[in-house]
Amino acid sequence: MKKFIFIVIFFILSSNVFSANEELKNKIYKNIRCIVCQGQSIYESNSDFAIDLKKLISKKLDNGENEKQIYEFLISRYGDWIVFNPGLNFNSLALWLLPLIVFMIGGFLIFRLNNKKRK
Amino acid sequence: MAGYIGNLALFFSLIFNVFLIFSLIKGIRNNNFKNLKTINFFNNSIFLLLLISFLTLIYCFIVSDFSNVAVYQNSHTTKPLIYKISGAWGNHEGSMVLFILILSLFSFVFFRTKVSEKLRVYTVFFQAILILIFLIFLILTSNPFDQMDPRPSQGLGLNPILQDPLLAIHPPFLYFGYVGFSLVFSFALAGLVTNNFDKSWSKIANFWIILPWSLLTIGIGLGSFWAYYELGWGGYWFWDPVENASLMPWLAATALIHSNIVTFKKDKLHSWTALLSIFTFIMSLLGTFLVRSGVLNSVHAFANDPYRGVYILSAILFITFFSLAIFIIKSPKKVLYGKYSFFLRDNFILINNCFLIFFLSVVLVGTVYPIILDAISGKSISVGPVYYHTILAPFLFVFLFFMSHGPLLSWNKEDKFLQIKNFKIFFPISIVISSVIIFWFFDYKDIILILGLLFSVYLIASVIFDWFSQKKLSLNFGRLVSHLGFGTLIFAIFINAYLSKEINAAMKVGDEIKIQEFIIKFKSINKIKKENYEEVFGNFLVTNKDKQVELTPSIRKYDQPIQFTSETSIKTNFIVDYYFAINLSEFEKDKIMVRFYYKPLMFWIWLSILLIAFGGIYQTFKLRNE
Amino acid sequence: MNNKYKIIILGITIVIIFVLFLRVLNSNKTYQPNQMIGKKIPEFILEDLFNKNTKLDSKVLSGKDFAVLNIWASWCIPCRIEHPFLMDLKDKNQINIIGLNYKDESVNAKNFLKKYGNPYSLIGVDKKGEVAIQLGAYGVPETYVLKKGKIIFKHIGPLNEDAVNKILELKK
Repeated sequence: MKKFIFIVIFFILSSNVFSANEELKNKIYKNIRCIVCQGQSIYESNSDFAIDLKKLISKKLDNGENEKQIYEFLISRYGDWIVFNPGLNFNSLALWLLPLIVFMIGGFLIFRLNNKKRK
Repeated sequence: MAGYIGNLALFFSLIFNVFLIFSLIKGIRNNNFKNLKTINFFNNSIFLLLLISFLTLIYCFIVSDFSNVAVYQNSHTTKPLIYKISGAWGNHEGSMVLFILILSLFSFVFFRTKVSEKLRVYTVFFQAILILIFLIFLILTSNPFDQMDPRPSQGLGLNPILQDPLLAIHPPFLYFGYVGFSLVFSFALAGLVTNNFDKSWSKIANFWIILPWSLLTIGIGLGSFWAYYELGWGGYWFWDPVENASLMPWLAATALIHSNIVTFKKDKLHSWTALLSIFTFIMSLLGTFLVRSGVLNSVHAFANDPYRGVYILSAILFITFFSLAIFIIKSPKKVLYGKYSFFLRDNFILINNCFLIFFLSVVLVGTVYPIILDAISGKSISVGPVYYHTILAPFLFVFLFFMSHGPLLSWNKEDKFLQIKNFKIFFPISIVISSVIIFWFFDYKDIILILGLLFSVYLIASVIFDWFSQKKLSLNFGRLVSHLGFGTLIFAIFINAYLSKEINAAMKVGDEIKIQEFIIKFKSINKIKKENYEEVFGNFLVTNKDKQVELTPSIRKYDQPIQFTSETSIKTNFIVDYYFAINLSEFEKDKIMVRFYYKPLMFWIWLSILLIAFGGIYQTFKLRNE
Repeated sequence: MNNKYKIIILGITIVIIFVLFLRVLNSNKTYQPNQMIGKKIPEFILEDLFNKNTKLDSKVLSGKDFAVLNIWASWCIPCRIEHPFLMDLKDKNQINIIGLNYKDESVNAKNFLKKYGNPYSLIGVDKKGEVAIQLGAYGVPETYVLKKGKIIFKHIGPLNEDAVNKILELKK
C-alpha cells in the first residue's frame, strides 16, 4: 500500500515537473532578447542566434541550472540588455524611482491646492 | 507628371502658408481683422493644395510610377490595389504628407467654427506655424515626390506582412487622433495669448479634445488587434516603444478631457487645462520623433536615418520651448474661492488626473530611459512587461475606485448620500461577484488578480448604478458608455492574463497529444498555390472536454523575395478564442512546431475599446449639434 | 519665482534634452556589449580545422602574451571583406591570429582559405556556435584581442583601418 501511494505521488510530482519544465523554458525564452532582431524575444524569433541560444538554454536547464543562473550567465556575456525584465539594480534604480517621484510631486501639489487660503 | 503636380502643390502650399502667416501677423498687429477674407482664402487654398498633393501621391502609387522614389521603395506592380493606395501613407514620406494634411484639415474646419474673431485668428496662426515647420521638414528632408532616373521597371515594396487591411487603415485613425490634438494645442495658445482662457474656451475646446481622442482610441485598438492576429504569439500589447508612443498622448488626452470639464463646469484649473492642452500635443510630437528618428529598437519602427532625426528633434524642441514659454508668461492665475470640500466631483477628477499623469510618466520613463541611459553611459537595459505591470497595478486599483465614485459626486454640493449608498450596496456585491469568479475559475490566484477583478467589477457596478440614477440618460450617455467600456476592459484584461493557456509542441501528421485538459490532433495537411505564394495548411482538431474546435493555421512561402510567414487560425466566440499557429521546426526536420493558445474574453477586450471610443464619438456628435 | 527665471530653466532643460538625444542619434547603432572586456576567456577545447589531432585549447591561449582571436565563416560576406586586413596583420606585423570557424562546413572553410589565403596559425572548429556564445559573440565576424588570456579589446563587425591600428597599438 505504501509503495502504491509512493508511486502515485511520484507520478503526480514528475508529471508536474515535466509540464513545469516546458513552462519554465518558454518563460525564459520570452524574457531573453534576440540581440540581432528588432525588439523580439528569442521565443518569437527564428534567427540563427535565437535558435542557438534556445539550444544552449535548453541544455543548461537539463543540466540542472536554474532560471537565475541562466540569466546571470547571459548577462555576464551580453550585458543587462539581453534580459527583458529589469531587476532592481543600480542602472534600473531611476526607472523605478522617477515615476514615483512624479506621483509624489503631483500629490503634493494637489494637497497644497486644496489647502490654499480661499476668499 | 502627377508627381510634378504633387510637388508643385507642396511648394505652393508652403508659399501660401508664409503669406497666411504674414496676413495673420498683420491683422494681429493692427488689432483688426479686416483682411479676414484674405486669411480665409489662404487657409482654404493651403488645405486644397495639400489635399491635391496627397491625392497625387496616392495616384502615383496606384499607377506604379516608379520614377517616384517613395513609390519605388514601397510598392510593387503585383500588389493588390488597396495596398497600393495604403502604401502611400504606409511609409515615412507619405505619412508626413498625411500628417501635415490633417494639421491643415483641422485648421480648415476650425475656421468655420463659431468662436470669437480673436480666438479664431490666433488659433489658425499657431496652427499655421506648425504647418510651416513640418512643411519645411518635409520638403527639405523627406519629399515624397523625389524622382529617380532612370525609371525602374519594378518596385521593392513587397513585404507580405505589411499587406493587411487593418494595417492599412490603422495609420489614418492614429493620425486623426494624435495629430488632431494640434488644434486644441493651438487653441490653448490662442486662449493664453489673448487672455481668453476661461469657461467659454473650455466649452469650445471640448469637441476638439474628445474627437481626436476617440479616433486615437480606435487607432490604438486597431493596431493592437492587428498585432494579435498577425504576429502569431497570442499577445495584443507588448509595451513596445512604438505602441507606447501612441499610448502616451492618449493618457495625456484622457487627463485633458476631464480637466477641461472641470474648467467648464467650475471655472477652475485653468492653468492645468492649458498646460495639458500643450503637453498632449508635445507627447504626440515625442511619439512622432521616437518612431521616425531611428533611436528605437522595435519590430515596427520606421527604418530611418538619424539625419532626419536631428531635424525632427530640433523642430519638436523648438515647438516645445515656445509653447511652454507662452504658458509660463501667460498662464491664467485664478483666485480660489468657495468652501473647501474633499467630496466634490472636481476634486476626484483632479486626483485621478494625478494618477493618469503618473501612468503617463511610467510609460514615458519606461520608453525613454533605456535610450538615455545608453547615450550617457553606454550601458543598456531592457524594459519589459514586468516593469509596467508591477509599477502600474497597485495604483490602478485606487484609480478605479476614484473613477467609480467620482461621477456620483455632485459638482457643488458635498453630498455623501449617493456615495455611501453606492458603496454600501455595490462594494459588497462586487466582493461577492469577484470572489465567486475567482474561486470558481481560477486555480492560481494572487492579490493582484483579486484586487483587479474586485475594482473593475466595482467600477462596472457603479456605472450601472449611475446609469439608473440618471434623470435624462442622453445627458451623460457618452461618459457612461466610455466608463463602462473601461471597466469591462480592465476586467477582461485581468481574466485573460490569468486564465490564458499556451501549449507548444512538435508534431507530425497523425500525431495526437494530450496536455492539461486539451487534446490536439494533427489531422492532415493540404497545399494550395496562389499567384505569389504557396501555402501549406495544417488541419488540427482541438478537443476541450466536450467541445471540439477545428483550426487551420498555415505557413506561406512567398517567392519574391523568398520569405516565410505564419498565418494564424483563430476561432472566436464571446467566451474564449481558440488560437493556433504553426512554424517550421528548427530542431526536427520532419515535424512542425505547433502553438496553441486558449485566450478567454478576447472579444470583450475589443468590444471594450469600441465602447470607450463610442462614448467619445457620441459626445462629439452631441457637442456638434449644440 | 520670476517668469524670466522659469523660462531660463525651461531653456536649459530643452538644451540638455537636445544634447542628450543628439548623442543618442549619433551613437553606434550596433549593440556593443563590453561585458567580457577585462575577463579571462572561458574554457574550451576545439579541434583544429586541418588536423583533428591538434587542439585549440583556451588554456594554451591563456599562456600567450598577445593573441588575436577572429571569429569567421566561409558563408559570411563581411568576413571576406575584412580578410585582407587579417592577411596584412599576419604577414606585415607578424601577429599571431587564431581563427574560430563558426557554424561552418569544414569543406567550405578550407576552400575559403585556399582561395583567399590563411592568416591563422590555428583554427578551432565551432560547429554549433557554442564557444562563440561563451565568448559573448552574437554574430560574425568578431575579433578579440587577448593579453595572457584576458580579453582587452573586442571589435564587432568586419575589421577596418581604425580597428587594425587599435590592435597594433595594444600589442606594444
